[in-house]
Amino acid sequence: MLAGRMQPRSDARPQGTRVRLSDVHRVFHSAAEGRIEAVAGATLAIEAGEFVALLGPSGSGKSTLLRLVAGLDRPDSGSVALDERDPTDAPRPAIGFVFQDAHLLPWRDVLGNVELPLELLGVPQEARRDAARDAIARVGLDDAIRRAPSQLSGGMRMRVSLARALVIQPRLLLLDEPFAALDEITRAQLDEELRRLWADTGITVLFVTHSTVEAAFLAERAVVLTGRPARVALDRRLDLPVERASALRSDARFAHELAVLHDALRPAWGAP
Amino acid sequence: MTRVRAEIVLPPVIALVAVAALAEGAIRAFGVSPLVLPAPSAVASAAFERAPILLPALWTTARSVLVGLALSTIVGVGAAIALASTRWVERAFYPYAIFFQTVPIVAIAPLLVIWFGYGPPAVVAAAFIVSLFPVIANTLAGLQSVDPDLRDLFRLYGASRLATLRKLAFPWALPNILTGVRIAAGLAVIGAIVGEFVGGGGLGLVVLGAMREQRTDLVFAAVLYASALGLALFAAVDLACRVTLRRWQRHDAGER
Repeated sequence: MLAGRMQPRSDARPQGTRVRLSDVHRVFHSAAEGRIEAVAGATLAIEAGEFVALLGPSGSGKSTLLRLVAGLDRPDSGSVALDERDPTDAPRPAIGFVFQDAHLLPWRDVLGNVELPLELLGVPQEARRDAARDAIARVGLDDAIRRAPSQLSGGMRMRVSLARALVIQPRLLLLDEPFAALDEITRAQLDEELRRLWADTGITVLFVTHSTVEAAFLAERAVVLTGRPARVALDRRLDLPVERASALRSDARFAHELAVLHDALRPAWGAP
Repeated sequence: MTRVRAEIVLPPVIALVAVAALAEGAIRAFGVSPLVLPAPSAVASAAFERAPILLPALWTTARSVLVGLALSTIVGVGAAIALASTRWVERAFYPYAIFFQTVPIVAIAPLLVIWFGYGPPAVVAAAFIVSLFPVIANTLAGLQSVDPDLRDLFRLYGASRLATLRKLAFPWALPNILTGVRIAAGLAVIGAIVGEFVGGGGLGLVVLGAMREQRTDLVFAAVLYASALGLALFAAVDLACRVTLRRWQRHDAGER
């Protein structure tokens, strides 16, 4: 049990994606606030199969960074590469994306929502049904497969969203403060499940959060960003065991990691 | 269930009967000429006795209204999709779409007769013109309110514009579209009657004829039929709205 730094299991099926950000800059122009420098010279290398938490205060450009990685936005300068490829190139790489809220299609039931990515990618009905059922089973929603989103709790909706991200068997999973709106218990539960999913699949996970506790519990490595514009303030490999049960939260090493992350975040928050 | 229905239905019915009785009494007591204001009983009997004229007229008007409304729904939704396609197109053409809201149908109706001749086509055109704008405006609002994160999701999976429209934007805007059609339904009846004043046929023609014959009770009866038509259409679209909206609850982010 004294496994130190974790490498994904060698029998992991899909190999994760390597992510490279080099000197990425992104500036927005808004009528209200003028020129907003969201990301200024972010450089980051994430290896295949890593679980990285991206920490920072709100408005620190974390979401912008994630959208750049997903190829939903392009940097003004610098480059983003997924396995040496531009993420906006077609065919797009297999990326799962989970937003802050579930963002389900309200007129589709759970199965229909989870099927959606495969449908858009042109997978035949039979195959996508099976894949969707598998993904739904993975997040433990077998019983709710025919329910409409409006009939689900917030936690269940988030699970559907997670299943929708997993259904394409992504090699890179991007999550943008996915559980922030949920209650404490549901959140802890989903954190554990996400961690297990990652350990089972060996995919690369990039998890944006503003919670140091969540970051330390989930990730192998934590990257702390300074406030606007985003720059990397700390890039740290967490010295924590592979198995992350809830007992870990009261572990001395866990407390130490939290303290380190807090210290790194403090200047970012602009404390007195 | 029946009790709830009774609670909803009874009060307006009682109010109607009371107001009708009051009007009846007042008109008789003051000896108001039936040429000016016929008693409710006279209107009711005209509505029954002249049903052989009124019902076919109602059918003619209803057909024009339905065709006009169907056209404005199809054209309106299509125009809104075109307007929503790019910012540039919207800026260039939306001001002209507003023209349809401001066009005074009474003034333009004779022109429609010049273009389409007497008969249903001119009437349909009048119904179409007055009911087009609410469909465009509401559909456009719906298409523009599509969740940007869902748009991103569709992009992430390489969805084509057509797929995004079919599977995201259109269903997302459907409640707005139905709201637009509901508003358009009432306007289409008005447009059709005005169209019939100049283009002939239907309840509009009955109103004109009754006026010439100084049969004010028949004018009122025709108005009653026209109102019933508008009400029935409104109720039908409203029902469609509710059935759809039950499933279309867009409040995904309810826990925010």
